[in-house]
Amino acid sequence: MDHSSQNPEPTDAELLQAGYRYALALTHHPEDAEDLAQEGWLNLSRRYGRVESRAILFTTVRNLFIDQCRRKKIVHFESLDQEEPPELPSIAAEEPGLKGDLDRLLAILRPNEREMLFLHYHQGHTAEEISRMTNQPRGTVLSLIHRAIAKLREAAASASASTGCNQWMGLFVFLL
Amino acid sequence: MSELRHQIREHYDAKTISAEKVERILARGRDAAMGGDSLEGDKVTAFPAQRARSWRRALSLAAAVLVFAGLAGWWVQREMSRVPFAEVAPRVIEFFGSSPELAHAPQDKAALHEWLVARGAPVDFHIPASLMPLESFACSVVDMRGRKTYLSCYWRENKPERGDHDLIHLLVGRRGDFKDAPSSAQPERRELDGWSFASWSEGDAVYTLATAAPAEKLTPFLAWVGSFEFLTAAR
Repeated sequence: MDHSSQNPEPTDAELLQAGYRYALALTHHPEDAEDLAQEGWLNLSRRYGRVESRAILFTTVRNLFIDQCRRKKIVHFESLDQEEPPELPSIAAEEPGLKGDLDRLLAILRPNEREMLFLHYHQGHTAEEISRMTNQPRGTVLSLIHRAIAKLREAAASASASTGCNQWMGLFVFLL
Repeated sequence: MSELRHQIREHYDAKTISAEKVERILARGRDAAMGGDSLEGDKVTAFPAQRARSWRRALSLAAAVLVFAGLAGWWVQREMSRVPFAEVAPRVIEFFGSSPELAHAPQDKAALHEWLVARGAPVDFHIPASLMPLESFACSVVDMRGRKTYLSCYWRENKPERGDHDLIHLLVGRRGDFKDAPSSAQPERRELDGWSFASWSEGDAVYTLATAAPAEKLTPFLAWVGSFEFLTAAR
């Protein structure tokens, strides 16, 4: 568990695990996430002699990930309007759960959408905090979160319908 | 807590790096913090490599310059320490003018040769055939401005009343010890202060035949040396 508000002074191991989970949110690939977390950790150790905080580790991991995307010419961070979008409703405090395999559902999201969900729902940051951390307008953060939730619900519904359909087909075949 | 938040937390909390791997990364981090993290998997950038190469190049260049300077120094020192061959004749005159103490030479020319070689004369030097029948008088080692030369003296003539001017001297040295020494077996002749000299080289040895008399007194002892042309010219 590494929810930022619960443990203000985490151990090095807890910090590293937090960095790994953040990297996993960005990459959605365990091995890539491990590499990213390790590289970020070593870079900071080399430069400052220690990893001072979760925030600096996250920033380093994020920058490394962006560098990797640029090197591989992967354009994940598509340009959302940098101008403040129309006022969006705040994120609902009571968001209902999703049906289906969350890992598969998260795979359909873009890295920045997963990142926003991770920072908001796992790390417990508000949209304003995320805005400051990622240097994006608060509206963009809200927009990304809303869009990510909508995508997840749509994918979950579609998966559920498909599963239901398959069940009916199975029953039909069984009756025949 | 919303259901979605709960789901996402559970999902990410379940994802961890193995304890063993965490320990390894932390250990590498500690190494990196102490500046000793040349560990596998680190990205190697071109800059330090180029710097290392340039250091190697500079070291190689410095080594080459040192070797060259050493060789040049050795060559200069060697050249400086070589005695100009032109100084041999004056030194012979000076040597005999100082009433030197000479050793009695054996009449057996082989024993005389052995005596000189034992004192450092070139092993492959030989006493000219024209001197073999002569009576040996004395022998010595002569310092030629720090270089050793090997002297043997013979009576030119066999007569009852003999003086210093009836002696003929053979001086043998190493060719490398002299600058501008004769480079061939053809004698180079010189006369100085009533003395006559003839010098030639054979192998690594340089020979000088000298007598305190006119040049024609030396000529019969040179007949065997050099080419047919020389013999003709000498006559």
